[in-house]
Amino acid sequence: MVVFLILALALMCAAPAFSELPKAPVRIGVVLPISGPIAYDGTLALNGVKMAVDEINKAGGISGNEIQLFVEDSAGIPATAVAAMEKLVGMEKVVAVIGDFGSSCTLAMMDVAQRAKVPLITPVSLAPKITEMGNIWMFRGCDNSAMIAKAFTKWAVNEKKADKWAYIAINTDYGRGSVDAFNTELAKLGAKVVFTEYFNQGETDYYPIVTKLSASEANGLCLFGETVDLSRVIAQYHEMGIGDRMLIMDPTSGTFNAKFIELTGESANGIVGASRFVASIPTPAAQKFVADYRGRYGFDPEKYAQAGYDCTRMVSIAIEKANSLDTEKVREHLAAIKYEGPQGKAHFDGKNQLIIDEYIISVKDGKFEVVAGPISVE
Amino acid sequence: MVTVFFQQVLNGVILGCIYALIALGLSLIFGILEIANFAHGEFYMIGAFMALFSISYLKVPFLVALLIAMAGMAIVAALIERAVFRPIVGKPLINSMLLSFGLSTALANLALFFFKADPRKITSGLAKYRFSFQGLYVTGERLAILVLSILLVLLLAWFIQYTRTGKAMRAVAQDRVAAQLAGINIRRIYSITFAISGALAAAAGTMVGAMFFVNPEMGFTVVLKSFVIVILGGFGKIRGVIVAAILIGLVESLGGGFISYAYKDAYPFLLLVLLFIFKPEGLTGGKQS
Repeated sequence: MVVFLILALALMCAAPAFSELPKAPVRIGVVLPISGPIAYDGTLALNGVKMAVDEINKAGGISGNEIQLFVEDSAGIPATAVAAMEKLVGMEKVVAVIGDFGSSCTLAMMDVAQRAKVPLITPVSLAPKITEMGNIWMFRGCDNSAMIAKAFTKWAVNEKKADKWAYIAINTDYGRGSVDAFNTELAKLGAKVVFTEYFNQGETDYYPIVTKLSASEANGLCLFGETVDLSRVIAQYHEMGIGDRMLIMDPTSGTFNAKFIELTGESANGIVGASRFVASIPTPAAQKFVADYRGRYGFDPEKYAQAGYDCTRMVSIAIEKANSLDTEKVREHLAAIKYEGPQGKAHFDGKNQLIIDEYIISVKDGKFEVVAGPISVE
Repeated sequence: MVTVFFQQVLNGVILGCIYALIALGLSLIFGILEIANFAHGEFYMIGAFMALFSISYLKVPFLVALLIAMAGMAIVAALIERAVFRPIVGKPLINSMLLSFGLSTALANLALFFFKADPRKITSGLAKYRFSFQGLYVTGERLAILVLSILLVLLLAWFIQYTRTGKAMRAVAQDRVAAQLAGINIRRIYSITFAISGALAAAAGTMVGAMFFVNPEMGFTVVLKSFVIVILGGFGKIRGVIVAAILIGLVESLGGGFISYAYKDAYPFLLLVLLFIFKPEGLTGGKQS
């Protein structure tokens, strides 16, 4: 009797579920900058997308249907991105679109997604308003700067006891906006801000700032800027002889690249920052992803490749769960997804913003090591 | 607070010494050839690249690289003078301004084409030595720069004051025709003037390349600042230019440190405006020497 029951159960499970999915390739669109000034970064995200598609197709596709990818180049130009989006939803009749890279392109594409009722998921764009505008067809498949601030300040203040912060930030919307976002979180944690200075892009002589900094009581130095400018800040900070007095923090990971290491050498050691993904995350899932990616492309994946990979996987899972090419159903299942990728667990909040863990990264001898995490940002 | 103040003063003086090297060359050329050389920033940039390549390809020490850059740039500057500027000596100032501005753009873009925009650093090997005195910090590199630039300025002052060629240069600056009548070969003086300014600019570029970066765009901002210094100090006046250069270095350093760093680049120009209002004859006043 028991044996019969088990058999019956096994049969029920094995029986093909009632499927609305027609026996045809599942069409998914991609809009990324593959030419133009951010082509390099755009290609990294595309690498992740392509790898996910090949893996899914090799494992039998979505309920036995192969994924067919339609890749369009936005060149980082909003008008081109919109044209690409129109082509994908109008001519290619895709079920969902992954893209774009720059926030301005994604913002431009959102209206098309809403009008055509096709889910659009961006693997990279950071502008907060993308998920704040109430467009239910728009998903952000990566973290945003407010989440980074939340995760990072909690760790720095509680674990590292950095409670007197100094900022050296680039004099742009990004720099000033980041300082504001971090100040909000620091106030909640009871930490003080004792020093704030902005510099203009391309500045070389930071001695006036670091000299002034040497007289402050800060125990944490927080940097917002690009590789080249920050490399000078760090070098001159060390020349001033205050190297071991503060925890040096680069929360948006502008310094975590090979050029920065080349320009600063040993001075880069000990810089900490936050990132949702680096190749050195020690979990088996992450390491398998890193090994597969390296086997395919010859170098380590970073957070753009990871996001492209995860977005593609999430879209295919949503289609599989929806068991239909009805975009309304795909959108509902995508919004309700409980996903687990190389980086960790993830799901969308009520505004379609992905809730994903952050890792704390530290530079050691030119390598990027994971020192803490995953940190939940909920 | 006192320590911070003196540290900012020290930073400002070092910066001012480098500015002096660049501005002196500009001032010399203007004083003797009556040419406003906007391409002077590119002399400084090309000099820095010469030093960078000497170190990375010939593996020479920093001081040797500095000398190679100075010699190399002296030759290049003299050639540029012969080929580009000589035909317009004695013509209205606007000619030299337009010509040198074009030359500046051409040289910067050539450098961009050949050397790429990628910023690079000259490694002097001296940055790892650090000295502290009463709470003031200075790296070996900056100390060397301070000493070297003071030496170069003194050498130049001595050269112009006491050597035969220096006296001839001053004579040409005072009266070109009279100098020629007295038997001075003014063409030779033009070449020498350009060679000296090129060498000084190359020295400054090499030092800045060691402290900061070498890249093809480094000349643009520096040439504007140098013009401010030369106007403040007076065209053709060595002492005035040195005083103005140190003053600008101090204003940038103290203003950046105690008022707001984000507006650092505005302070020298503010100073210039104030000078025009209150002391239009220049910092040291009087006629050209």
